[in-house]
Amino acid sequence: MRNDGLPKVIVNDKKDFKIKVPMASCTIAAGANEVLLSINAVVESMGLHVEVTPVGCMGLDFIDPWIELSKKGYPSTIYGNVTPDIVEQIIREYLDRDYSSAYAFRSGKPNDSTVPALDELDVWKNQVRWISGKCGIINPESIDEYIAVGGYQGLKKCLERAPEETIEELKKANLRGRGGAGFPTWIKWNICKEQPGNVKYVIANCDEGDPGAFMNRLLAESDPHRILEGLIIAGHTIGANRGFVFVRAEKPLAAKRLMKAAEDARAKGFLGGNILGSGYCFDIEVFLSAGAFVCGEETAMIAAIQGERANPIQRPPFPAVKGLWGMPTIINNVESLAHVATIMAEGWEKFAALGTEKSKGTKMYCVTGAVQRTGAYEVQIGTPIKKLLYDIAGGPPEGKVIKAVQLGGPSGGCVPADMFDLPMDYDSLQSAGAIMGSGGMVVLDNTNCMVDMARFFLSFTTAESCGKCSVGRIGTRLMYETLKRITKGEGTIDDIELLKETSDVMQKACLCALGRTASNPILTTLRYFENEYMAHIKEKKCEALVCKSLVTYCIDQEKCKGCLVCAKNCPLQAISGEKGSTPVIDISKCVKCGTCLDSCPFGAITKVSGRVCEKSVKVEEGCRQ
Amino acid sequence: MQNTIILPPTKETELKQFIRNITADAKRKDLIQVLQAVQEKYGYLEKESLRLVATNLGVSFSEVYGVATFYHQFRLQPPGMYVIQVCMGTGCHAKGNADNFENLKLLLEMKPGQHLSKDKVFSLEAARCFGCCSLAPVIVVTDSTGAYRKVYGHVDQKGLKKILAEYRKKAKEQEESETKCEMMVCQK
Repeated sequence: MRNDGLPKVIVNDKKDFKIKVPMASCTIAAGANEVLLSINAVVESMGLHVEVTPVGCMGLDFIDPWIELSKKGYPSTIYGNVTPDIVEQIIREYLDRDYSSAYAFRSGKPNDSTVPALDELDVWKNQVRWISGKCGIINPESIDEYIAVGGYQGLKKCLERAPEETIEELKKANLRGRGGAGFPTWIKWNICKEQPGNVKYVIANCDEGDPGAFMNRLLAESDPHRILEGLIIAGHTIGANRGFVFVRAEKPLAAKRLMKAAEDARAKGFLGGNILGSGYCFDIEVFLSAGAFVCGEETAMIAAIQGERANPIQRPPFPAVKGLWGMPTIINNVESLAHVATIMAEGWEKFAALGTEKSKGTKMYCVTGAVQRTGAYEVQIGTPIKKLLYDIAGGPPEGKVIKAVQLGGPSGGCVPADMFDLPMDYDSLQSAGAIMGSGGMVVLDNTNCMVDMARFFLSFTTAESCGKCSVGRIGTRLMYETLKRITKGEGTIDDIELLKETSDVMQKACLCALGRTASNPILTTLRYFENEYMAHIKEKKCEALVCKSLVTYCIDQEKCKGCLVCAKNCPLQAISGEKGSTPVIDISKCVKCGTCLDSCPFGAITKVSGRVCEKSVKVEEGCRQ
Repeated sequence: MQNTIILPPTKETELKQFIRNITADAKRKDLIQVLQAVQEKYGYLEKESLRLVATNLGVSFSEVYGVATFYHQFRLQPPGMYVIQVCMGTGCHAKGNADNFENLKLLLEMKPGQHLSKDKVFSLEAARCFGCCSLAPVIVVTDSTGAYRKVYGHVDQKGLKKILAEYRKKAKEQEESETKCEMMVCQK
């Protein structure tokens, strides 16, 4: 479903040839900067009159860096995986109306072409781009382009009416918070609005500490004004005069774009005193967080803005009653705020028509790991996991089998492949033991060990636990040490019981959500992949060949030519032997770094599950006989 | 009249001055921003600067130390010329960045607990997700102040060696140009 009808002014601005280059962290990392330099050089050497505009990222990360060429009289064309050296060829072909190397056309397509239109592609047609519709299309650093696509219309409507009507609209839309917990936004706002006093605050949560999720970063980098608009609407509704955008310092580009957006909005009168002549005053500050996962907890985030250690405190009182500096405060995820801005502009009816009975609208997911098309996709709530992973993300790469998907980061859980018909909404996922969370989806295949994944998440929560409540502090450590023992092959059957017991206590007694949900990765992997735990404990085997203590490297005598390349490359001199005969790996010295496996020109070195190489043992036995 | 000799500003007075300037209008709530500014200039937070920040903001040293040790961004040890940050996000972990981290330690000959290479060119850090999960596994190389920043995607063993060689060369060139400058100054 398309949502990018751009007015003609933007499509053909001053010059009739326009090249869009995506400038977001993900595309820059993939080489967009070099492509941009190359485009400028090519344009100059060819003597073309071209307007090169930076845009955001449209979420199709598997074709990064892409560029879009549009010239009057030619179809708008997207090219994927562009490298600096093929830029000239692409531009020449485009001007010759040869589109054979294109990825897709933005809309429609010439009759004689074999290249599809973007709308026809599985990856695009199955999406509903409700809030991300303008990402990768408009210039994120230009407020004029945002206004031209209908931006700040929702704010205008809200300023003209009473805050109660805005809340009523949200209530009808039934928007639930997109940060993960799914609390209805209108209730939160209403509680805060009802509080007495003039000093209130609003905070946009763009911290996104969840590893594996990047939709907030993408929104802030590609369409920052939508977030600001939502924040101003929130401020007007609850009667706040000051707002904060909480961004991680590790995401410098997102912070920079939000600051620029705020500056432009101020200049245009959308921020500051007497906004659009309504008499309402509101201003924002972009707060650069120094990085701590626990800041996702509302009370911890408030402590961070106050310049303290981000320790959560007991709730209630909830921040909506007593928050920043003791004043009523609402904290909303930036995705929720982007939804607010879009709902106010487009009307609640369109929003409520999407999604399921209980959860309306759309949600963005970041699909990474073992799929062919990684990226950030927006789908209706209630879309089955299968549709997202197979239809949109294209299923596993060749030769791999998807085993499970990890949803919701360190507080979420794993859903096994045989449950992929599960619709993704707040309640169904909860019943499966996972959570919607921020929407990060890491797809795991047969080369990933589920016990190791659980250990990884616990290492994360152990490091990130603030240390204030002893249940959280000791419980995460206890579970981490237990899992570490199992992955090292030192686990016993009692460890499983210990994990379950600790999880139970933590779910009941922890002060904040970090601790209460820390055991989710363990509980879901235990529920769906108990056999892997058992293989680690009983057979001391890791079938996925991940847990280093439980794998062995061995050299196949038949394939080995005795070239000793492995011995030369081994950083610890653990391989010894004479030229012409098969060398031997000294297990006591080997740290299992895998250098030998990568360096062997004959593919004679293999990684096997278990602590000893059964092949070599058999050979030795054979010798003895 | 006697000529007054102007001493070049030593590091300590410069540090004092810098911290006085940035804490001039700052309040308790600005502590994190003040520490960020100090780290941006000097690459890390040494004990002396924490002490100065505490005195200038009128809070206890322990409180400043508590904040500085709580957040990931703050470094209390001097970094190398280049900082290698290895992403430890889920996507990168699933694609084998833990191995890359171990291999980097081997390649840089770092002992457990050590984070700075012997030649002080590299320091190694485990970082949280950079949000470039599609490029997993990812490592980011920055200079000590973070002004230079480059993301490397799909990193494997060979890639690591290449990256290390690239920055070793850069560091050498930089050192050479610095000594050249010094020599020129001496000649003048």
